[in-house]
Amino acid sequence: MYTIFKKEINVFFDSLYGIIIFSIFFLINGLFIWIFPSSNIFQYGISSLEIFFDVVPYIFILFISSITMKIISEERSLGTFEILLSQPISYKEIILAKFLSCWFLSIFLIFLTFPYWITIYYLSNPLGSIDNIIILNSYIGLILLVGAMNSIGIFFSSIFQNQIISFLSSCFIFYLLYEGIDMINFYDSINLIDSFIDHFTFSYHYSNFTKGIFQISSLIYFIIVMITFFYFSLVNLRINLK
Amino acid sequence: MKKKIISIILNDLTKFFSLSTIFSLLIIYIYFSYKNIRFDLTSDKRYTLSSSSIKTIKSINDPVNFKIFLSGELPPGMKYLKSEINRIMIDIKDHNKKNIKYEFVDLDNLSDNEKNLFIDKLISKNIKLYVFNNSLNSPI
Repeated sequence: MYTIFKKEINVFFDSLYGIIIFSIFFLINGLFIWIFPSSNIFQYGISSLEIFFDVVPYIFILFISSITMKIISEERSLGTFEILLSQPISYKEIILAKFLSCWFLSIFLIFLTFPYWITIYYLSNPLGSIDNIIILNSYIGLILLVGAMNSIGIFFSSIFQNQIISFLSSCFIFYLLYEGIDMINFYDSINLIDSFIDHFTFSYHYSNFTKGIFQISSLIYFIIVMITFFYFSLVNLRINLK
Repeated sequence: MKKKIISIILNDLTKFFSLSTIFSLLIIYIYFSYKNIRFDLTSDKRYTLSSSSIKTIKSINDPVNFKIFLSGELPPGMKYLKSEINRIMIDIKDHNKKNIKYEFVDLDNLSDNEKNLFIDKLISKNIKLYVFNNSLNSPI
């Protein structure tokens, strides 16, 4: 299991692919947070990383689907998945290793935004007047959100052998889960129990974390999404390959 | 195909990654979201009641009925406000279950007479009324 984990991370860092993903991620983030006039921190005038945590899920919708799109579908279309199966490891270990490597990479991406925190700390006036615990809590929320997204991305990668289709479908599902379901609230003709729909969306649970609330049910929600899609991809591989 | 899926799912039930874990986690989720256990980590405790307001709530001996005019066909932002107010009211009620009652009232459900009476009452208390024209909703 560890060898697959190491291999996935090596593939990412050894090739141009990883460098491009890293550089574009930081370029987009930096532009949104420090330069673009509608959303930069200087015009916002409040020393918090709220803007960063509002923007970054949308960026991750694209980036996580591009990290996970090839993870299983490439191996299946090239036929190397059969070689992997001939080794003495189970399906569970294969998917777990791939899931953990993707999650590790996304956490690494998040971890490298740490300088923003330091910058905000020194920009604030009086020095250090930022709510560190809220930012820490938001980082925990972001890591959980990213884990749930990775699990869904791997599921779609295991369904489709074509990378583009797995990319597009996981993008769509991320958006649907992040914000799309919430749009039902805009229609008054659909009378659902208020805030019932909220429990299905990422944005509701994630916004709890960014507001500075640690809600146990939100933590469990992300774990449920992770385990559910992990299990779905496990079942899917067993059906198609046995 | 269907038989295969069902047999795989049934075989898994005792393992960790299985439908049984997912369902048990769902039950735990429903329990915790019903109990609404949350830790307020903000430095100014923005989302919890302060100790002085808890004291005042506990000192109430007469029944108090809150009427919150925030119901019916609301735009999404207001729905969010409503759920937040609802959460605070649950917190308040927890400290004095006997005397505090609250309800959300929809102005559109009242008859025209009642509505006009209510609006007159508000105006007599020097409260300015603004009518929002929402394309989806009828104004008050």
